[in-house]
Amino acid sequence: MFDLIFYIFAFITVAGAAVTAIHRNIVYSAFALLFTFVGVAGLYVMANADFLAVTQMMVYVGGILILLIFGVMLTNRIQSANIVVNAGSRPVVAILSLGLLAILCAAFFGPSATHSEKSKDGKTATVSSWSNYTQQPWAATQWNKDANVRILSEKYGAPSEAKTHEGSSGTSVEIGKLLLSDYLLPFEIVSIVLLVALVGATMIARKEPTPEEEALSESLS
Amino acid sequence: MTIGLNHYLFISAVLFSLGVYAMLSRRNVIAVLMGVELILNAANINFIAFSRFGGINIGGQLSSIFVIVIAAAEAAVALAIVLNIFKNFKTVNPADADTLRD
Repeated sequence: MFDLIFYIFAFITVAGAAVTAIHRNIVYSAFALLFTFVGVAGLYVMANADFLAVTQMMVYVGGILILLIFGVMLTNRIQSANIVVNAGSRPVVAILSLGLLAILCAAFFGPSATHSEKSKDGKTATVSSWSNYTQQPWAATQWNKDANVRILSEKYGAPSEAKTHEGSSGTSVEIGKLLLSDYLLPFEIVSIVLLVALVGATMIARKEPTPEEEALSESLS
Repeated sequence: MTIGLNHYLFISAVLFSLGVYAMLSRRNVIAVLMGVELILNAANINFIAFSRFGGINIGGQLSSIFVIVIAAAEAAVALAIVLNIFKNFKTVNPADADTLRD
């Protein structure tokens, strides 16, 4: 059952992304992007990231997608039916991105993703690196997991079951505590970046006042 | 076969390739932006997958929160620039905005 739901979300995600990338009408692309975002949110839920799933729905579906659709509507003259996007040098680009997909899959699942391991009696066995995350440089794994729990428990008392990632009470408690303790500086920096970017966007997008309007506002002030 | 890290990695690879295809082949700046969003989502899926299966635990989720924030800022600024390009050039084809070339 779990697998079936995962495959449904995966299909929604990939099909939506394919329509987004390929469909000639950009309005259809925008609506397909909606399905991609919802599917990705579902994938987050399947990976125990409930807070991220809600954030994805609110920010991407409720914010970025609306912005994109506004952009479509503001930059196309609907009367002139200029919405359809012309096809360009598509075969070359298709080959390029298929090659990219092949490279990525080779990196993920190919021979380089496995490594041979010598056991004590001299036999070499081929082991998939992905099934043994402790071998990967980015995963100090168990230590890291323990460290997170340990930091939390030092700061906030003994860890309950709910504080570990496998617990059933969701991740928002943990994320909130980490955002205001270990990740406080990045959190503040990113909030300032967001503020500056939004103010800058308004400045860039606003209409230049005509000389008469400028004179009027000066006489009023 | 139970769902594991590989499934997430494959979906993210497909999403990334489709995003690159959209970025390179579309003749409309907004569609190019949609490709960028696809790529950012692919990166986020990887973060979440490694957070669940790769042992980096909650750190991956925090990283993807920051990615989402940056994506929101990027979309706002990029849309503002696109509106200005449309106002000045009367087109949204990225190939037509080539004043600096002359």
